[in-house]
Amino acid sequence: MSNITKLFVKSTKNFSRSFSRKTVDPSYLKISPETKITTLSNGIRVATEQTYGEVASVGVWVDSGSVYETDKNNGVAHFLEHMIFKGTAKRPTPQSIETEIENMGGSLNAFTSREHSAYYMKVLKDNVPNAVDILSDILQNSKFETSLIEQERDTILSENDYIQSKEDEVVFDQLHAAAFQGSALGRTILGPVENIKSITREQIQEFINENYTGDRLVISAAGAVNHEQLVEQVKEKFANVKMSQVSKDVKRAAITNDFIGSELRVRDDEQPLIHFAVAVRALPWTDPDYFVLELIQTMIGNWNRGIAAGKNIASNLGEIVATEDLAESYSTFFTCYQDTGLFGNYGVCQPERVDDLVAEMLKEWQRIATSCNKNEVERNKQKLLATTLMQYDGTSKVCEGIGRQILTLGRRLSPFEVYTRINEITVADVQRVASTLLRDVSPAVTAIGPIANYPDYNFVKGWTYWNRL
Amino acid sequence: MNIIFLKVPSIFKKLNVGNIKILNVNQNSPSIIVNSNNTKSIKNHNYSSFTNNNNNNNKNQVNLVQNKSILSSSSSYKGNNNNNNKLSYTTSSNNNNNNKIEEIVKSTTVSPFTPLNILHPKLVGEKLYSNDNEANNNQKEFKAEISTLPNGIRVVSKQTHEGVCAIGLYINAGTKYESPQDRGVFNLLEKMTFKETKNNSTSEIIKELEEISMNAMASSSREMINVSLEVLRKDLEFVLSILSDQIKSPTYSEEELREQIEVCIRNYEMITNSSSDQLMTEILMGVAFGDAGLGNLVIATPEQYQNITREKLFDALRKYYVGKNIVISVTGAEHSQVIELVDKYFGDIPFTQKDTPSEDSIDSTITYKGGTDACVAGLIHKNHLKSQLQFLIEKQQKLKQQQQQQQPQPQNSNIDDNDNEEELLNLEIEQTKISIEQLELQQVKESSWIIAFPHSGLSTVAENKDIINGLVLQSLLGGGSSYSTGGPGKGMQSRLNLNVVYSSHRVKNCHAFLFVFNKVSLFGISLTTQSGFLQDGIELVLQELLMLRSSMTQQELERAKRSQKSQILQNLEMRSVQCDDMARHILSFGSYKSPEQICKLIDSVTLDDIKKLISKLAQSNPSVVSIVANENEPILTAEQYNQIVKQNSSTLFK
Repeated sequence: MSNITKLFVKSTKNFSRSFSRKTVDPSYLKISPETKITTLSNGIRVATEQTYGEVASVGVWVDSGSVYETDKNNGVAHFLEHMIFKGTAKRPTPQSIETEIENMGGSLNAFTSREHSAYYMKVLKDNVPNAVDILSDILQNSKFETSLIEQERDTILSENDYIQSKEDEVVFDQLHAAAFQGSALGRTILGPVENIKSITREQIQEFINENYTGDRLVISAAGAVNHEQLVEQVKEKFANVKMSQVSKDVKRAAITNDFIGSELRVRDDEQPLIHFAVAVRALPWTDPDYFVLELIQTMIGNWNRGIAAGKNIASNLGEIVATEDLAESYSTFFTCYQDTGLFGNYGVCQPERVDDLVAEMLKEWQRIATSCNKNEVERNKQKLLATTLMQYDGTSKVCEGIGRQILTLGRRLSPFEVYTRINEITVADVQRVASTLLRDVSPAVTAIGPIANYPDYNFVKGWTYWNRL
Repeated sequence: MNIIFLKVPSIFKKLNVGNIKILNVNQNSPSIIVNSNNTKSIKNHNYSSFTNNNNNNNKNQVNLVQNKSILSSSSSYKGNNNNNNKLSYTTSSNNNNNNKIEEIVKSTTVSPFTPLNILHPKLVGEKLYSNDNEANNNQKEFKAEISTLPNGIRVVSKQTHEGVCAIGLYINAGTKYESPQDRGVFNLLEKMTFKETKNNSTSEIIKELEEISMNAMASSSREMINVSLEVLRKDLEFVLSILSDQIKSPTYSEEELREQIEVCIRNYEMITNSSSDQLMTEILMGVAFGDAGLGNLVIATPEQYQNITREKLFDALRKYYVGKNIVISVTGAEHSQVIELVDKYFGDIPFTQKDTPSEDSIDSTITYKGGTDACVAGLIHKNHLKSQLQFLIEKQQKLKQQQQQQQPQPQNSNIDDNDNEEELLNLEIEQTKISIEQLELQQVKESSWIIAFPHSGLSTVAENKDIINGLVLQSLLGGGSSYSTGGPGKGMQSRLNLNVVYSSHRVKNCHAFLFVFNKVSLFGISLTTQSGFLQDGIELVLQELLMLRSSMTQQELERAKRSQKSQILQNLEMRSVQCDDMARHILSFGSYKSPEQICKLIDSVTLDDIKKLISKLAQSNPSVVSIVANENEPILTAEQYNQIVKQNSSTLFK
């Protein structure tokens, strides 16, 4: 009797939802500042978003990364990024660069990925011209002293050791090595140890001459920055940067990155947990279905043991994983490149749970491809819109967003356009894209840890489709 | 007849096809399907696939392959069957059927959307930015606006030029208000945020927030409980209604309460089972302020959490979540709109309760004490585990006594239950013993030491520059780690980094800190070294601290001021930090100092200001905490520090 009453009360509560919200006019998305873009005669693009404030972020984004390397010089793009801070004729030592920046109260950062490199500074409003001067100097006039190159090998080897100690970094490097085996994207960003130990000054200089050309540079800025003034400063300071003789598209057309379904296992029974990834070929940056796949990523979701939502998470897979205690964590990744992409799940779990976890992940892929419903699609569209627009918090994030989008899309997506593109997605679109990419495919699989129980590749592949008569 | 059937997934509409043999050349899943003479029609949107090598399979299926190239070419395939029969691809359908097939294939693979490198066609010619407001938004400085509702709730908001809101609810409630009987109640109250109310279940609340919000979090500290999140502007009202419901209609279900008590206990164990920064901070606060008020740990002990009841939570909610204790802060909205919504959803909360304590009465009891607390790494956790083991053993003995009493009258169900309980208890005892053994075997590689001095609180910002001077001094000293993950602009030129971290490769980490509370703050330096070398590190820190006054330069001061300004301005770019900053000012001194005002104060700091501050701090009685790898490692105590200062004060501080 009491159980029935309890069930009835619970049901009543579930039906009496007080959350109701009306459709809101999306014009509030138009109040963001506009991005202004100017292309200089040497191909450099200057893109800015000006807002009121005291701080500005200025960055140089380069279409240059490990994908442009060869086996012989693999790692040079990352190595040169390190050497950029080691001194120029005008600023002869690393300390002189550091002191100048700290005296301004600014900061300077850089990163290298498989397709891009970036150098960006955050400074007070008055120091924007100084920032442009520093960035132009280190990028054009670095000395690359041999003695400092030798010193930096140790630093990069330490960084490599650090990355090798991070299971997620290792899994994703292995995933690229397997999925894009024999292709440029399969190489690591840092390169193999023997290359780190042998990269020469000539290789660095040659790589920068070939790849740091005007048409492949975007100078982006956000915050307390004036577009016209910045354009003038860039014209003056970056005047010596040349247009490339071979366009990026021609270069990339000669670099193939074919996805190959494959498996790479590294068994290590001393580790307590399995770290693995299951991935399929995904979409390039400009693909018209980009936001549909982002939506699918949102629907599959992310979960880890520490989040407060626990069993109440909205993601269907997250709810299963939490309730049945299948994992320590899982995440859904969607990585774009110019001509391909990777989409899949990364998981961390106890060895005895790994086959259930992988099966549930791929089962969720199939569920979305065949029977996701309008309610969950609409709910996740809201979530995708919110997370996409809310990520631009502060001038650094805006600056990075501008740089990346100009490099990859050749233009800036306004918040209203993002809304328009997400809003038009339907259930049929989700099922179409999921069916094309996630069903009956040969995934790339990588796993490290005590993987005796990791399911056989044929099982994993078999889970990408359902048998029904 | 030899028939080979292999799996081919397909989607197709109503279609009559006869005698089609199709070869699928998809490189990822090569497969073949061969149709017999008989053909069936398949219903709309039906899906089927199967794998079968059984030659006896008589089922007839028709499938369409998506690969378009097949339909415009022919090819042949050599089968693997025993007879090595050649199979060939041909079609006997008429042209109309071919056209239909092509249409189906096309419709299932081509996206109806526009590539991202092209402006969406619907938006051609449409305004993507509000041009009317653009000039104003970009040039106009938005200022924080403050209002107080009739029930005492203070509302502060600031307009922005983006489509996102940050929303924060701040309550003057925290461990400094806890009495010994209430220890842990505010931490648990915070943990019960975003849980079931009379109007909505926990699941509903979390799913909704997950859909629309980012960075939703609740946190509690010594002086404040804070709930904050970010949403698009369209969801501002919805969020305020949820936050209001959390205050006015919580249920605090027994099940969720017990669940969160377990979470708090795990947090306690996590913090005490490490030489973490947080553990050092907790011990430091106890040394500085004694065992009450600010000295109360942010985390309570497991026993204290176990004693918390629903009634205690409701009572704390009633007493502290009152109008005069509440600040609501919003960025990204018009002030008038925020006022209207807050009044709508929070307007009926009472101004105060008879037994609500005033902050002044609590703050007046805060007394700085100072002193030394020296710990051995892992000892607190070990002691906790040992007392837990003792508790479990006693429980086991009681259970055995009960069993003996029951033996003369055996009952099957009771015996089974008792056996099960005893088994679980034995397992728990064994696990606790193993944990203690593992703890004793742990090789601790680092030792830590921290020294802190009392300084003015945040509320003095309205009156003087004490806090500002402290911030500048913190930048001047700065700090660093032995493995630098930063680059230029990360404090590489600060004094602690140059003179302590760089001076000894045994120093792992050293940095200056300023813990700011309403009426008081603590300025200090924390140090972590390789175990066995703590004393060397302390000597370096001491030398830097005591020689700083006479050796620092104007250039260093200017760099520190600029660094502090940059840090403040850069942090305040983030909407959640901005939201938080406005609320903390209001809670602390009732008004808001804008970033511009703060920066002017920083600019006005002089070398003499800093020298006076150093003299004052260095001659205060410090609070010292150390966590060492082994018991014999020497440290510097507060008493020893005071002696050194006394002996040298005439030369150091004149």
